[in-house]
Amino acid sequence: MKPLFAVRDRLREQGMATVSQLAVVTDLPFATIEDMLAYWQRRGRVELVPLGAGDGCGSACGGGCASCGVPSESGVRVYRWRESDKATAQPVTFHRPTLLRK
Amino acid sequence: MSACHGAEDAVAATTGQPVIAVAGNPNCGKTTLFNLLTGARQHVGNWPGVTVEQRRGVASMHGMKASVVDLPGVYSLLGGGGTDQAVARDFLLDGNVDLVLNIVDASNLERHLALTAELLETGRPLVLVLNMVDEAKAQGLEPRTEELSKALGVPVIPMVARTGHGKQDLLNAVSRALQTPPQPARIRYPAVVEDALHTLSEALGEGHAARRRFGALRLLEGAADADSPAVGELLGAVRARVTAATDEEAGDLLADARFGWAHALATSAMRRGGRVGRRQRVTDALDRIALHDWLGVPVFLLVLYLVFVVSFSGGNIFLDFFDQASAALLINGVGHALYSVGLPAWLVSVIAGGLGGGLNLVIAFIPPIGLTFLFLALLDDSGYMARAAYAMDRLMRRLGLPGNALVPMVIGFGCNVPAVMGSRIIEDPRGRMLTVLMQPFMSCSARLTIYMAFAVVFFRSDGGQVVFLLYVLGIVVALLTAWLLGKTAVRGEALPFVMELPPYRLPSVQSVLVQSWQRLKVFLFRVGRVIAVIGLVLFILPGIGWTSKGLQTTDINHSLLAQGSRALVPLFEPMGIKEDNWPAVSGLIAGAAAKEIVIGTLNGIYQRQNSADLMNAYRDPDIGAQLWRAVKTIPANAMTFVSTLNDPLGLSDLGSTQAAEQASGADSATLKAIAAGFTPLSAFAYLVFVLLYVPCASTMGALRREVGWGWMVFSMLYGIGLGWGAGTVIYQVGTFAHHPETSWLWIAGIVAAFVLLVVGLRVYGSRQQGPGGGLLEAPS
Repeated sequence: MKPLFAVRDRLREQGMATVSQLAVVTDLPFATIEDMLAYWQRRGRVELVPLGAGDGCGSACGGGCASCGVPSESGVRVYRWRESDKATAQPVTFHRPTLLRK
Repeated sequence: MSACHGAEDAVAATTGQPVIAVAGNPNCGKTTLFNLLTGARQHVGNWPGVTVEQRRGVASMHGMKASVVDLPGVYSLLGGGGTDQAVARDFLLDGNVDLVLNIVDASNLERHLALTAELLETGRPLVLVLNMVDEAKAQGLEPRTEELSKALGVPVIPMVARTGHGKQDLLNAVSRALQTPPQPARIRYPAVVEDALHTLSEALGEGHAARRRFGALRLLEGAADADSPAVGELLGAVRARVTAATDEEAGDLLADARFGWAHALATSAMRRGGRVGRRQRVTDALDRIALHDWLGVPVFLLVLYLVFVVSFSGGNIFLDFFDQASAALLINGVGHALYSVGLPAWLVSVIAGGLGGGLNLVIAFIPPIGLTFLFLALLDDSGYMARAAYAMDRLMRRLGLPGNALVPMVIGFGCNVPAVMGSRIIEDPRGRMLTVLMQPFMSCSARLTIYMAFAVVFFRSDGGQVVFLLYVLGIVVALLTAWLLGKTAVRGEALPFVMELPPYRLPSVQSVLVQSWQRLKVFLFRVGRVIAVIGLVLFILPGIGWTSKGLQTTDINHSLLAQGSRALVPLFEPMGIKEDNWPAVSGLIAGAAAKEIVIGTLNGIYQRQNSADLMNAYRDPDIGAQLWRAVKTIPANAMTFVSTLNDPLGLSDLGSTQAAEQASGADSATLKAIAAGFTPLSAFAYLVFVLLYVPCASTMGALRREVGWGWMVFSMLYGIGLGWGAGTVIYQVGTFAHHPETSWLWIAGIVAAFVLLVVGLRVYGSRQQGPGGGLLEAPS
């Protein structure tokens, strides 16, 4: 297994991902993923993405930003592969999908 | 304690004593271990030439004394760590070090082994201290020190430095290691990288072998600059050679080898045991399936399928009871009470037949709809839905669709209006528009009522499968619609989707019940209110019509509703609706305003058509007997449910006859009338039309606000066209043998129309400037 490259390939394919997304698909511990992302950050290939709320947050979900799934205090970090043609410089919105949100 | 001693001083002060360097990451218990070994015999000073604190002391073991040096805590020795790192690296490579005590956090072994890998490169004898084994065990991790020791070629001592647990074992091991230095194993890098390291090491010239190899490692990783043009040139050449051979950069290969080594070692050295370990193994096993590249989506569909099948079959146990008992009380009971107090017959019919009949329909569907919400809440609370979204996300991106479009889609299972509004969470305008245009095809809970009513009548034995099929059809049409528009009218690239994947957990009973009730409450009080009220209105509407004397009360077959609906029936004949089934068309017309009304409309009309029979029931109802009959359906249906448990996929029912399906379940007047007006095939075609055509006026309003009038009109026409085309194709294919020529014409015409639509969308798309340019109106 080439774990550093596995993380890179997954992030490159996806464009952006959270640590937990990468951890479950590569079967590596969170801490290791963070170290690997730090490595790629040092290499200038990965950057941390600022998290933002969608335009309609609050009005659309009817319960404020938290109800849209934007983690205000959860410390979730999203990483972007800088070479990816799928990633752009704009902030992204974080989603916690749930069926039962109205 | 003294201060301001340099490294050489420190070593000189203990001449004749072996020197032990304590190395490790910050916050791994390094200083605690140092204190444990040296006690009060410590000296604090600075490392030479820098202001980094140096702590040294003396440890005693088996009558022997050793000088212990506490190195600065670092994550790496290779580069990027400032002065602390340089101090540690220089001391380990060039200092008078007899033994390295590498302390690692056992609860986070993989991360800490990265430094161990670098320490092994120094070639110094090493003892590994596995600290915090108590915390590791609390996490379900069982250290296997023998295996770790064998793999590393050095002694491994489990410890809890904080409590001193394992101190004697450590002293014994250190004593032995000082007398017989262990020979640590070193990481083997890929051959081409080893060649590059060898070449660079030779070129560096100065220093001992370990120093030169370390220098070569730092050069290849870009952590240090070449100190001469010749070395710089050689570095460029060996890097190019490595890249040519592997398609990877040399520095990345080195880092990957270390990460891989640490991962493999930590995995074999720390076994997950106990409850926590079992839980982790279960999570890992589930994730391997739920998030598998190819299995993830089929597994999600299978889970969804089981939810609907079990909800429908389980709900069937109580469906007849709810239906018959509520009919006995709300229709016959209320009708009898009103009739007994002397109200006129027409008023009794309106209240008991119209209002009571509507409520009866709402109550009858509480079991299957409530169970559906319960299972969906279970999935949501267990952490699976996030996995499903992730699995679907990969598929959607492969189709070139915005990944996070799935979030509004699952909201759309409840109601399309918040789903359309929820599409605002998608940042890029193109992705947002595609997502908005997908939402009308998601089966909302109002449609679920219609599906359930028809499934009870026509597909009683495998209604869950039919409902599932309709849900999946909606998802497929939504995805294909977005894909088609993304390739034609709204071209561009999809943005990636990020989300947190929570751990699996046992769903909380309270949370699941509260969530299910919230949804059921919406169905009961919002959807139910509409059904009941519209049922009442439509109970009255069929009673008036144009006659030669103007607008007059008339029988239902000559009412305005009947005349208008009959005029439209020819449009729906290709999908199997016959002229005498004009109430079905009335339902569709009303359903354009709100899907909740469809069943309400059918109820109003059918109850009205049966009003004469009902009056007899109001005069002389046997409510007690009806309730008893209702109760008796529970065990009977439960037996049926149990007998089908060994066949949750309903495969054995695939060969059942239509007559058997149609015979069961149609107890209420409305359901009986539905049974008489449709065949199973035309019912399915009708349901497909209901799924695909305009969801409701509210959704259209939300759509207009999000994407403007133009796209709203497109969505409406597209949905109607697609629904009609799909319904017609289904019916024509199903009845092909009876009229092959006509069927061919219909099918060919529909395919041609679809091709024309695609061409039109392509032409429109090619005229647009840039992805999504000029397509969106600003949301109000």
